[in-house]
Amino acid sequence: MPGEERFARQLKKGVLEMLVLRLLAAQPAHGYALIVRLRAASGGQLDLKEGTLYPILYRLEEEGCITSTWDSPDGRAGVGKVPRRVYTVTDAGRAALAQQTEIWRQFAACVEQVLGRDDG
Amino acid sequence: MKWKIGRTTLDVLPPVKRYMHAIERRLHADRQTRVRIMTELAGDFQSRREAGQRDEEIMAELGTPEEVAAQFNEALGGEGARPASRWRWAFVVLAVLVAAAVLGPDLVTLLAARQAESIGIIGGADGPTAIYVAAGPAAGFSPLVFLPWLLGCAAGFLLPTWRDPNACQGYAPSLLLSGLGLLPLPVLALLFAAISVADGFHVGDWVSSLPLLLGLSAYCGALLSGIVFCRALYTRRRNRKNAGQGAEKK
Repeated sequence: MPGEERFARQLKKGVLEMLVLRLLAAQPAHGYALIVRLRAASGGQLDLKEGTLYPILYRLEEEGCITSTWDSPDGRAGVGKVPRRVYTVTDAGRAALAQQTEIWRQFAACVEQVLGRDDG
Repeated sequence: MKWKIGRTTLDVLPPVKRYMHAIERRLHADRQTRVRIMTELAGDFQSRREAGQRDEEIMAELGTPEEVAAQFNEALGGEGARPASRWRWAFVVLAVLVAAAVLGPDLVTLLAARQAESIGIIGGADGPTAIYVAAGPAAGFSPLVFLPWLLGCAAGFLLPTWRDPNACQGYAPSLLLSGLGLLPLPVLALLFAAISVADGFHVGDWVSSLPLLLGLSAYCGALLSGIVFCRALYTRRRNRKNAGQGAEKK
C-alpha cells in the first residue's frame, strides 16, 4: 500500500545515516560493500540503492563524520579497472554515532511505551 | 569499447556505456559531483561483476537511468540539483550583438572588396585608393576591439553563481578571462584622457570619428571585463566567508 510504503521510507530515511556510520565504525568499506553489508545485517529489509547511499556518504564526509580515500594509491586505474573510494569513520563520526544511538534508543523506548498503552 | 570518466578509462560493453551516459546526462549536479558519482557507479558495476552478476542483471537491479538519476537528484536536493540560470545567456546575446556591430561593417567591406576584385576596377578607384575604400579607417582593428567584449562576456557566462549563488569554487575561468579582458582598460583610459586634453571630443564626419568610436567600444568591453572580474572576486570572497561562518556554527 502506498501509505505503508511512505511510512517505511520516512522511517528508513531518518535512521540511514546512523546505520551507515555504524557499519563504517565496524569496518571501512566502499559503497557497494556497504550496500551488501546493510542488506545482510538487516535480513534483506534494508536494500539501499546507490542513489540513496552515495548522497548520504557525501553529506557525512562534508560534515567530517567520515573520510574517504581511493583504494589505488594515486586515484588512477588502468583500462578495465576502476578506483573505488573507501570510506572510514572519523573520531567526530564515532562521537556522532554514539549520540545518535542514544537518541534512537530513547526514541524507540518512548514509541514502544506509547504503542503498548492499554487506552490505545 | 572504452569509456572515460574523469581521469579513468573503463572497458565496457556498448549497452553499459549507453546506460551510464544516460544516467550522467540526467544528473543535475556540477561537473565535479557528476564525475564522482559516475566513478562510484562504475566501481559498483565492477564490484557486482566480480560478485558474478551479469551486466544485464546489474542494470536491472540498479533501475532505469531515469530512476537512478532521480534518486541522486532527489537525495542531493538543493545542493546539486539546481539548473544553471537562463540569465547567463544574456552574455552570449550581448557578445553576438557586439560582434555584429563591431565586426559586421568590416566583414561587409571585406566581402565588397572580394566582389570588386572579381569584377575588376570599381568607379575608377584602383591601387591604394581601392584598398582604402575597401578596408576603411579601421582595417584589421575591429577584432581587437571585440576581444575585450568577448573575454568579458565569456567570463560572465562562466560565473559559477549562475548554478549555485553560494558557490565557493569554480571562479578561476571567469577571473582569468575577465582579467585578460581588463588589461587594455588602463591603456585605453590614458589614451582617451590624452585625446580629450589635446583636442577635446569633437566628432566630425563619420569616417574620421570611427576609430574613436571603436576605441570607446573597446574601452566599454574592458570595463565589462572589469565589472565581471570584481563581481567574481567579491562573490567568491563573500561565499567563502559565509561558508566558513556556517562551518563554525556547526
